[in-house]
Amino acid sequence: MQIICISRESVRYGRQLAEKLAQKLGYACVSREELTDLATAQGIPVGKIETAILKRQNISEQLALDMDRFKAFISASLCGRAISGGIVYHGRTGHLVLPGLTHVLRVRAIADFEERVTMNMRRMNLAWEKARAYTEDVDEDRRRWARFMYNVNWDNPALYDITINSAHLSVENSATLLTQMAQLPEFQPTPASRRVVKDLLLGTRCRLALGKDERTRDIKVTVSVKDGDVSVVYLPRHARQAPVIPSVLEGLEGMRSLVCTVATTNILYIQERFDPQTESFGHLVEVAEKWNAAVELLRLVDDPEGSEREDAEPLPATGAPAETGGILEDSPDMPDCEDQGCGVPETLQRLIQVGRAGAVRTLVGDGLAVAGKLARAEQYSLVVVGDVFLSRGAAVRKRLKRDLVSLLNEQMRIPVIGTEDLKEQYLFGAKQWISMVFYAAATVLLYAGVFYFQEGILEFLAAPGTTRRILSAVVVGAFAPFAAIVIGGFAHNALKLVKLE
Amino acid sequence: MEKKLRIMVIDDENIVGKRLKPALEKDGDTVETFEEPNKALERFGEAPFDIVVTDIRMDGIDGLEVLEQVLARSAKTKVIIITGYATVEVAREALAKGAFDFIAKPFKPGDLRAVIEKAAREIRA
Repeated sequence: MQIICISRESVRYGRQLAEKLAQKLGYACVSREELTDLATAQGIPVGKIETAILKRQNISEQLALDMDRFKAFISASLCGRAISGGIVYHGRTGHLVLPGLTHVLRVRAIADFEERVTMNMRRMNLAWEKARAYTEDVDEDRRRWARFMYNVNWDNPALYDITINSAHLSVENSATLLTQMAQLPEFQPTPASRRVVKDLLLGTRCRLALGKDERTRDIKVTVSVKDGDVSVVYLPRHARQAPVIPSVLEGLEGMRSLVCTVATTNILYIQERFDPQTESFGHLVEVAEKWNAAVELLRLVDDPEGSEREDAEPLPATGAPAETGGILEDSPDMPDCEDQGCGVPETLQRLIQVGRAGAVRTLVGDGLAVAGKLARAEQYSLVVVGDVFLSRGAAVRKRLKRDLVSLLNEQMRIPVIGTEDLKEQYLFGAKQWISMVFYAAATVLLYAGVFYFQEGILEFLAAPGTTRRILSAVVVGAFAPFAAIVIGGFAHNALKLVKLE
Repeated sequence: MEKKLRIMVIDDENIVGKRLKPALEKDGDTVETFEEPNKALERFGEAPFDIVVTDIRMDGIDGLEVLEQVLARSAKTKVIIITGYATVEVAREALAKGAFDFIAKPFKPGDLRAVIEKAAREIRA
């Protein structure tokens, strides 16, 4: 069950090295090409993902689901093969689909750029300049792939255990070196890592089964497995489809129990135009990361005439290649907001990169209608209202936003705040430091005062006589809230600092 | 009035031609579909087409070879690659060899029409 992943620059050298290494170790050799072909044959549109990278397209919600399924497919394929024996995989960044597996030997195989250009020139019968441009473009596409899929820098040496340079080491010698390295204890499977492989395999099989079933393929889920106990967490907007999840996953090999729950730590972000570059969006991401929450984007389009409608982002049918030849039905597209500069694709892309993407939807209507619609929606942990009603004047905008926040607060019974209050409420900045220092000083003074004057205080409290006792009770009653505010203020800030609020 | 385009569609899956032909003929262009690339190239030799839409993975002659042969015979022809098995390496190779554009399956006919319109503007320019 040893796993060796080679991230290759030159496909030819990577393949030769992987095959030689697999031969020496008696392992199976698996290539990225083999797995992408299998994934495509199973209806995962790998070509769409690759084309999106090549054409610098924004990631749609559907593409994000496809990426998720593709990662699950690669992970399931590698784990499935690793269970029955050792494997050598060569591709881009295979080890990144094996989170939690510490015994994977991660190899980066680099090649001389000029040599690769010459090779490509010969293989494709291209002029030098074209071959050079091709090689540069492909390298950039692969870097973008790593950023798109895993939010990592492909060139970061920390991602690998060893880098092999084909300009200095022959395939034979590189394979010999890696064979020896593979014997090191750090790369040997342990009982714990075997369990992780089994759990990873079960989790990715669950994800694939959900992605394959018509009823659940559009549900965005997080699957986690611990010793065969499966937990599926779905977003509130998928509550209607969620009841079929157990029947889709029923009978999966190795599953001991299954729990399906709605994600409770979802943040709803309401805005008319999104911008992932703003400070407030940065604060929102920070809070989402702190709470391990997904961020659902709600684009609120103001309609002063009061008409009301709601659209979820369309998820076109993927289509089984065998039935349609890969040609889908023409259908009217949803109004695209890209031209209007709504910023949804860019913001969603940023959220996907940081692993915090929830759903996206658009609501058209005035504040009252929107508040009514959201009140009927499923639960969120927090609602953040950004800039809305942009077509109105500054004063009206401010009032409408305040009314919306207050309405949502009243009807949803969860914290609803404006983006401007996000930092103060949930993050720790300079203001919170000052406040904590102030409350800390006050708390110290309070305790010091009580202990320093304890004899006097005890004497005052224990003084005989009804009038004195009533006076003692009044003084204690007045002092207690003050002490609670001071100590509570310090505790609140201290807990926020250690992210335990 | 704009000159109508002659479009050739090559894909070894019969269903692709069947679905694309009526969709592309909507604009009044002439569309011929082929399942065998060698027959398509023979036909191209008789009368060049303005636009060739070809799959990459086909038995016998693959889409990249079709691309090379078409451009060798008619440099003005725009070749659009369609495939379900796209990788950036293959797509970049097609573009480096002179393909006009690249579309990954599954796609809607409207997506292809948009690329064809772009190609037509270049042809007519």
